[in-house]
Amino acid sequence: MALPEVVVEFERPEEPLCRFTAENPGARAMLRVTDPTPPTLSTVLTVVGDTDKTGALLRELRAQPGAASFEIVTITPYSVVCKIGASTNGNARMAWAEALDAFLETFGRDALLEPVMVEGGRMRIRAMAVRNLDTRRALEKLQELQKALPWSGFRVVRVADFDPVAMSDRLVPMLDPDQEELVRLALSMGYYESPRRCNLEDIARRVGLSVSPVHKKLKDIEHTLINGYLDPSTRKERKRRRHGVSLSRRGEGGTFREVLVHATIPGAITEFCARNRGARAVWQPLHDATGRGDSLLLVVIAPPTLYRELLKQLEAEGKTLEVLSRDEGHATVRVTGRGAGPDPIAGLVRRFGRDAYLKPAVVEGSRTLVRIVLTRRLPDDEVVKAMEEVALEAAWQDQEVVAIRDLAVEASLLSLPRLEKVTPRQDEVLRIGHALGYYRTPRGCTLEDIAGTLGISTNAVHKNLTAAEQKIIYAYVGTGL
Amino acid sequence: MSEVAPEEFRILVVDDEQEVLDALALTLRRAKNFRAKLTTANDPLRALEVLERERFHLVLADYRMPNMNGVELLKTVRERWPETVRALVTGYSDVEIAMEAMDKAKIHYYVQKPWNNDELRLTVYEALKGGWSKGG
Repeated sequence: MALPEVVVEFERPEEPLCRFTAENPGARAMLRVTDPTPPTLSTVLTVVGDTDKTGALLRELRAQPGAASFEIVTITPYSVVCKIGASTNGNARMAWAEALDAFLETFGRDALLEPVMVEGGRMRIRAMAVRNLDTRRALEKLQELQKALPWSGFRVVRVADFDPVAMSDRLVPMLDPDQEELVRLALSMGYYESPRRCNLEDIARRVGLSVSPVHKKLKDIEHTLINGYLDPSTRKERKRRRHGVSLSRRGEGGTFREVLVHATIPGAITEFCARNRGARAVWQPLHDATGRGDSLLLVVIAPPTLYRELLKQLEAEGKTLEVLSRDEGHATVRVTGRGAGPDPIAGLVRRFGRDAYLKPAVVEGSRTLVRIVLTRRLPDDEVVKAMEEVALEAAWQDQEVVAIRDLAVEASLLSLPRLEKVTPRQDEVLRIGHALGYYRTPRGCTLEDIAGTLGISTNAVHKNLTAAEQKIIYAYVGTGL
Repeated sequence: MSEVAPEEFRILVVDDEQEVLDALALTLRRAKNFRAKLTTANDPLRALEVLERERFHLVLADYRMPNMNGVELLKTVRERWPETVRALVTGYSDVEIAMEAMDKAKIHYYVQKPWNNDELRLTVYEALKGGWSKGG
């Protein structure tokens, strides 16, 4: 069983959303597909940026022949939310709809799509493609997609086996807001490239500190991330300590913010995952911009003997199930019916506005990681309070806001190389170095000590460690990409 | 908008239908996270008279009204009291109305009818707290 996770991005300078985000620094657009069924893709478009400039974009989008329907739902000083029905037929399709439709045709309309982000002139699609594909086949399909689309700058950001638990771990921040900001700055300045494009003095100058504290802070960050990589249990420890910590740098409108919430959500799905060790589920309510919708896309990752048990239970509760795909390791199902799932969307829309939405939620054991995207200008403490009310209404238990963070990705980070895995050799050198105390402060060993232990040259140790560190840091920051 | 204590917020709600006006006012009075002095007007010309006498932080206007539609009213508000936050409430999902409101009145908020009470309160709270006026 292999469920690939695919992140791909491309650009088309004349496409209105790409052009708008390229020409207006800070402007971003997010497209959420609420119904992928042809001949019309039902979508909700949120554009953040100065609304003085958004009017012309909306007129252009509405005038496109492929816009089967167009409705403005909300306007705020920094965002506009519209419902767009985008035709998938003929040559008059809108360019972004053509790209999305081609992606869905390639990977299946049952793919769990995260909202499509357009920023800095580039469109990025992230999906848990729920068809049984290995990484190689997924890459081949991406090549087919690249050939089929008249888009340029095609870049595969990530192709990996989809592991909800790993994803859940990756998503929970390990760094505090200052550290997060510093590592992003260092990355954007090329500090972690080989050869480095800047040195510590350059970074220190940018942040207004002397070299020594910057060096110490970066070392702390590297140690935290490397420890988290080598010993994931340290990540869980950190998670517990990080209750309520915000990573939102602005907390203002005009940006997308992601709220990460851990909760025990009563219901058949949680009971199933808690009862069956190793079973996991990912769910996403399918709702429009008004919070309406009574269906849920559910991926159950478990053997058929187990997932059938859950599906039977859901049917017994009166839900209508449409199995979209299944194999020996998973089933993807559209669940329809009143209270189709643990859907707090009505409460979210009431408290955070119609531009709030849920990304796919991950269930591991009895706990669910829920991710909510907001654009409203609310202080973090009010977001936490409103989430408590949503959780209370939805009867969630032990709800904990793990983080609130900006989803903004600096344009300079968009040029990060493809996220690659640490190789077995790099992993081995890293583990030996860690065991010998290389990542302690002060260091417990030298590069020569590691080289002596492994019987390789100091230069080879240095190269392997640098490459591994770079990949781990890229992977951490790249999570938001 | 300069910072004011929450109890000093002043909102003018304009709608020609008394029932809608009452419902809007009731919704805002029941807000938990802000308190404001509410003034209502069931005619846009009457609203302008009120605006001549008193400064408001927010004007919330319906689109379809006699004598002057909501966009025209908010356009006047923008010209004469540019620091006032302007919000349009409409039961029409016509894109042109929204566009016209963005272009002519430079509205800060657009709320569709039927409104959701919590969402409306959130919008007003955000408008009052943020002081989003762009000065015209």
